[in-house]
Parts: sequence; C-alpha cells; structure tokens
Amino acid sequence: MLRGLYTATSGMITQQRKHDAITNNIANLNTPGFKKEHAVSRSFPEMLIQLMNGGDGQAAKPIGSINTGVIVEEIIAAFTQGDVQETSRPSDFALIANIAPYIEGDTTYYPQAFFTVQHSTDNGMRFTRNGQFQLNDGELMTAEGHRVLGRDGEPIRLDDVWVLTDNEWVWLGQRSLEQVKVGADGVMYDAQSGAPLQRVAMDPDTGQPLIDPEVGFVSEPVALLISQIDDPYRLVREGNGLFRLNDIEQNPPREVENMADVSVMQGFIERSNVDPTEAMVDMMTAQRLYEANQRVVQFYDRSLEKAVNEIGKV
Amino acid sequence: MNPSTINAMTAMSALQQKLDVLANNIANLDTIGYKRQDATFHDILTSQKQQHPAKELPGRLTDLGLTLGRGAAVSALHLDFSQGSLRPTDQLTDVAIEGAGLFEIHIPLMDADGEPQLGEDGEPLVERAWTRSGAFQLTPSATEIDVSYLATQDGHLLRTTAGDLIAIEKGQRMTIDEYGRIFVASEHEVDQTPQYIGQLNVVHVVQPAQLEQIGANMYRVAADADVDTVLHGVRFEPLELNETSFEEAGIAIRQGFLEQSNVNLIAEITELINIQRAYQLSARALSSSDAMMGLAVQLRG
Repeated sequence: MLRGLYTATSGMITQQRKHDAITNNIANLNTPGFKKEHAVSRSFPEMLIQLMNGGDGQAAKPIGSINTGVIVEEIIAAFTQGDVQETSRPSDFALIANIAPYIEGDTTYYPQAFFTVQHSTDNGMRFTRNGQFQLNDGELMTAEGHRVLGRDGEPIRLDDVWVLTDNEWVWLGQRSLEQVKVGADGVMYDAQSGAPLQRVAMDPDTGQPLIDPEVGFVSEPVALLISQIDDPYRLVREGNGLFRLNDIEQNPPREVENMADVSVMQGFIERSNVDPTEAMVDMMTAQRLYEANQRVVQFYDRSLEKAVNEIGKV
Repeated sequence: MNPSTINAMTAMSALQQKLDVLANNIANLDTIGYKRQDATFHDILTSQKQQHPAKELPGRLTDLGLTLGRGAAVSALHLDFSQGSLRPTDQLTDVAIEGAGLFEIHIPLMDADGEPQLGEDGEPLVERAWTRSGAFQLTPSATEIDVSYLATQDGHLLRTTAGDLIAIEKGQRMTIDEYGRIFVASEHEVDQTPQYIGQLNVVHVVQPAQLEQIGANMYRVAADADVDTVLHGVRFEPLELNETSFEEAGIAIRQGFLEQSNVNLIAEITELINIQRAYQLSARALSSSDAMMGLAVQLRG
C-alpha cells in the first residue's frame, strides 16, 4: 500500500487552509483594529511501523515511527499592537495596551485590553479593538450598531449628562462627541469646563435626581469600559471586528486593573496589524507547498499506474 | 468557490467602494463648504467549523472549532466634519460657519417623477434641508419692486429663526454678526443705527452619523432618526430644550468669508496609493488561489 498518497493530499488541504487564512489577512489590510490570524498545523499522530518477515523465526521488529499526514489544528490570532493613525475625528478611539505578561502555574499569560460592547441582537458582551464609534439617539455605538459599554456596565449615553463644577451640579443635556474629551483612562470630560461627565441616578417617581443624605447626588462618571482578557487566545472571532468569550459565565473578563498599562487615544484609530510583506511571502510559500504536494500526488499516481498496468505484463 | 477566492473578491469590491469615496472627495476639492467622506472596513462574519473533541490536544491554545474569515466589507461612510479653511472674499453675501454647524434651508418636496409636490392650498410643499455652503446671493422678489431675498447658490430662499424671508431693499447694506444676527442699514446714511431683522437659522450637528448627503452640497437627517437629537438649533438666546448657544456649540458666523472644502489632497492621494496597493495585493491573492485551483484540476496530469 502506498501510504504517502493520503499524506500528500492532507498536505494540499492544509496548505489550502493556510492560504485561506492569509488571503483573509490580506483582505483586512485596511480594517481598523483587525488582528491577523495564523493557521497552525499539526502532524497526524505518530504510529509505529514494524518490519514484517525480517527473517526466519523472527518476530516483527519495530523500525521506527511515522506520521501519515498533517492537519490545520487551529487558527490563532496575533494580538500584537497595530499602528496608530490620526484621523482627527472625535468619534474615533485607538486603544494601546501594554500589560505585562505574568506566569501562573506553568502557563504564561499575555493579557490584552479591549473596548467592551453589547451585541445588538443577543445583548451579550463582545470585545473589539475597532474604536470607530458614533452617536445614535444619544447612545455611543459601533458602526454596526452595537452599544459601547461604560464602566458601570451600562451602555454609554451622552444625552443626559451632568457635571460637578465648583460644588454645583450642572445639567448639560445632550453632548456631541466634539464637546467631549476622552482621557487616556477612558474617562469622558466636558471639553469646555474640563470636568468629568457624570450620570446622575434619577428617582423613578418624581423624575428628579436621587439624593443621598451623605453624598448628595448619586452619580457615576461616564467612562469607557476597557476589559482585560488574560488569555486572549480563548477569544472567538465573530466578524465585524468583534470577539466573543465562550465561557464568559465561568470566567468573566475583568476591568483593566492598572489603567497606566492602557491608553485610550481620541481622534486616532488602530490600524490592522497585518504586514503586507509577510502576507505576500506566506501566500507564495503556501502556494508553492501546495504545488509540491500536488507533484507528490502525481508521482504516486505514476507509481500506481506502473503497478497496475506494467507489473505482470508479458 | 474556495474561501481564498471569496476573500479576494469581497476585499476587492470593498476597496473599489472606498476608491469611489476617495474619488468623490477629490472631485469636490473646490466645492464651497464640502465635507469629506470616509469609508471604513470591517471583517466579514467568520464561519466556524466544528472540530472533533479528539482534536483537543495538549499545547492547543484556542477553544475547539476552526474560525475562517470571509474577507472584508465597507462598514460605514463617515462624514468628516472638521473645519475647512476660511477664504476672505469681501462679499457681503458670503457667509462661513466656524464649528460644527449647518445653515437650515427649505427645499421643494419632490414626488417620484421629480415634479414639485403641491399642498392642498396649491402652494408647493417644502422640506427642511441643511447646507454648509455659504455662498449666498440676492434674488429679486417677484412681487415687490426693489426688494431682494437672501438665497443659496441654488436659489433656495433662506429664512430667519422666526421663519421670515430675509428681505433686503435696494440701497440697503446687510451685516451679519458672529451670532448670525442680520442687520440692515442704508448705504448712504453712515451714522444710521442698523436695524435688526432676524437671526440666520443655524443648527449644531450633534450626531453627524445620522446626516445623509443628498447632492448639491445639501444634507438631510436619516429617515429613522429624530431630528431634534441629531441637530440642535443655535440661538443667540436659547429658549427651548433642543436649543443651544453659540458659545456652548463652539459655532461662530463669519460674514465676508467662504469656507473651502476640508479635503486635503495630499491625504487623499496617500490613501489612494494605499488602497490601490491593497487592491493589487488582493488581485495577487486571487490569481494565487486561481493557480491553486488549477493545480487541483491538473492533479491527474
């Protein structure tokens, strides 16, 4: 039996998958916040091959191990920082994360930070590095209409904001993103007074602000929720720049602990981290390896042809 | 089709759309008050291939399942409301806006055949539209002698915040201050106190994402959006809830100036080069996947 025929075929399929991943990277060369992906291949499980009929009275003798093919085992994203490009649009945000890796047990974690959004259909939490937001009915949303979550876990609204200036609460009503300055830690400030924007809890009965006897108005600063994902490889790519966590109930993401490790830049976007040169080289390599495997299949075909047609011919 | 071909195809059509937007920006390099548009991309919904639990092997980094992308698409067109430079013209009918504002005008409501729709009283129906182009002109009144009305370049009459037409009589000189307040005074009598006739109807754009371009340098609010949350009226003395002051909105009116388009040719050409090269790379990806399909076809030499 010719083992190698199927080995070479599995090689072709693997190279095809790698090629698919690379062309997807190329397609997203200009997608903000896109993280390039790599197809990781693994050889089929090793098996022992034995020498049969080695000699008179001898049992089968092992002569070594062999792999009979290769598969694409997983496709992993490279969460390296993309270049930051200035757009001067107040609704664009870039996230620069520089969280130090840490070791727990025998695993090294490379934590990454993401903007947190709420999916428009299932209301589940999603993570993205594409910070091109817009205001829609006073709510901060992604271009695809997913609400951007704030630090209090609620969608960010800019249509009912307050500021505390000189110990006095001022109702600002609706703000546009030009009238808002976002600090490196994601906190939103009023561009005119420089005071942090606040959301004030309302009494549902009177429609007036709730007043706590000790602190006065019950307020929360308006700030972007930056989530820290300790093991970003567990993120599942969903398209539209979004990532999902499968086990979000057991393993909820946490807010970035040390805000000095991340920095939010308003008026900038993070470009895709795809390197066109690398993509081109990888694509050519995948194509040639596909071709090489195709040749091997052809050689096997010729051997089989000989075996079928010429052996035993008189 | 194999995924590589789909990736290349979606990417090339998205890049083509971006190219169209860039070309439109470059074509409007000299349009008064034009605001450039920008197209951005997102990656297309990824297909997830199920994997057998036996593939959960030591050393694996990700959860089970193989995610494969399907290229890119244009996610949204953004209107870039950044300020264009102001060019002095010394024309009293040229008015420029500093800040994120628009002039409100009324345009005739057209039916499906492009004919103006008439109301029950026989008067043409109008709808609200907004423009940034402040190259106004005076059009003579059809009924009154020696009276002209302030109108846009395309002849749409301007109205004050009170809803009145802006009438200028022959021999009168119009001045507009930074709050859009219009005053008229006789050209001959220098020491006459200018007479206030109303305020230009200017709005502050709070949510630029809900504005749509309708051609002829005009905008309207998307059909599903609430006008009051997208645009706030700018008043010298704001009274209503959805009104704001010039200081708060950061808007000022400049008479005798025209706002140039905010298209930066160098930035557009740089982007054009970038997009063209990305298109080229996608075309290479397409020919590469075509070559691979050819190899598969020729497997049996």
